[in-house]
Amino acid sequence: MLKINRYKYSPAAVVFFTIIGIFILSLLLKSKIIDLISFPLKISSNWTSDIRALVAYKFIADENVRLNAQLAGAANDAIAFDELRQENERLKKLLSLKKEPSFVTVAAEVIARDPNNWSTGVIIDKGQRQGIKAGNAVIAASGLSGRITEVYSYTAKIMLLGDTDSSVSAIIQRTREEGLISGTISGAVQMRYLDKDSDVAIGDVIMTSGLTRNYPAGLPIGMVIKVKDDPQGLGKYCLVRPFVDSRSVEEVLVITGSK
Amino acid sequence: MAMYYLKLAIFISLLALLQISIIPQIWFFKVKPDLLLILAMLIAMNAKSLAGGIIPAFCAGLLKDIFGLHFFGFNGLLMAFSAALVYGIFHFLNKEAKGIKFFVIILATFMNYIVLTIISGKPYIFLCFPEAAVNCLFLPCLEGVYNFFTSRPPVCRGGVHRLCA
Repeated sequence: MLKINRYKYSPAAVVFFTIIGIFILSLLLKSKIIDLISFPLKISSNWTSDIRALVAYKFIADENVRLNAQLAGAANDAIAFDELRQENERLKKLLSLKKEPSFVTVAAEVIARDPNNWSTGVIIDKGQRQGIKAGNAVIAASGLSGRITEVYSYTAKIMLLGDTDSSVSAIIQRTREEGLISGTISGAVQMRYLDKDSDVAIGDVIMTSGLTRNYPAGLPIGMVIKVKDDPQGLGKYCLVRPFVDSRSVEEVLVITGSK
Repeated sequence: MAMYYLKLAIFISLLALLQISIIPQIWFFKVKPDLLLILAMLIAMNAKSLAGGIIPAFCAGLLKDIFGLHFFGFNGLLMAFSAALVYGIFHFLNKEAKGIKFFVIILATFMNYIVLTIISGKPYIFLCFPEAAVNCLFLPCLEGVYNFFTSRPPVCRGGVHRLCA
């Protein structure tokens, strides 16, 4: 008579092998899970935006009045700016300077945010199928936002400027001094490695220098809000308020190349 | 039993969606609650077996890792470890002691950040204080939803509950 041996496993072994199994499975299916979940996330993201808009209706109405007044004042500036731009183009043509490349961008919507408090990232609804690659720079309406770290078929993850692992080479627009923009634990942004006798001042605008791969030069990053001496006494560093608020970023442009 | 785990899986998935989409947008403070950590600890506190405590906690942590930026598997392993610890602690301590659940949540949050600080070499430990406070704030609410969702009666208080008497 055939006897089937019944093995009895200890609970610890069962837990161990189940965990290993789930881990491998999730590693293999990670991209599929994120792509699959992007649809409900997109719906919930739109829904949440609508609710927020309703809650902040009064604030938005006041802001609209203020911005309309600002826009009227800016109309004259726009005409002057256009005049200067045309003059600049004419002069560049005369000097036979190479025309600055314009970017090829993919517009995307933020559908999810990092679940951890110790990292700053978002997930967008565009991915490999739209030509996005890991390392691509990401901009929002008012400046640099971050870079693509992981790409899936229909979604991608962005590491925002405030993340501790994020670093971009940058220059101070006024003094042309170079430094490194990086995130801090509190999610703030700072510019490090400035000279001890640096002329940096509160209100200076920081821009990308173009030295970091994939980050084109001249993208606005933020404004200096505080200047401090380095704890080691070797130089200075400054706290920067980014032009793009990482907490409220909703739409972004991914720079996939240049024309 | 299968129904319980199915409900739990749905609850974990819903909470993960809440954690990455709605909570970051409606929560006005800088430090947001870690709903999945709270849930993992609640599961461990109510688990009938070691596997029943660890595996759901591991899955909840892994979901966090899937949507997070760094260290794939970090949250999964850490939550599984925390769940094992909590399951063990709850066998020795008085489950009904006042504030024990808050103590467990604070302990799990602290452990999370201590390990993170050691692994990354960055002083993330400062973040654990506000997060522990926010997690404690959300614990009673999430516990109510957890009990309702998984259709488990409230924990028996020494036989005085009518379901346990």
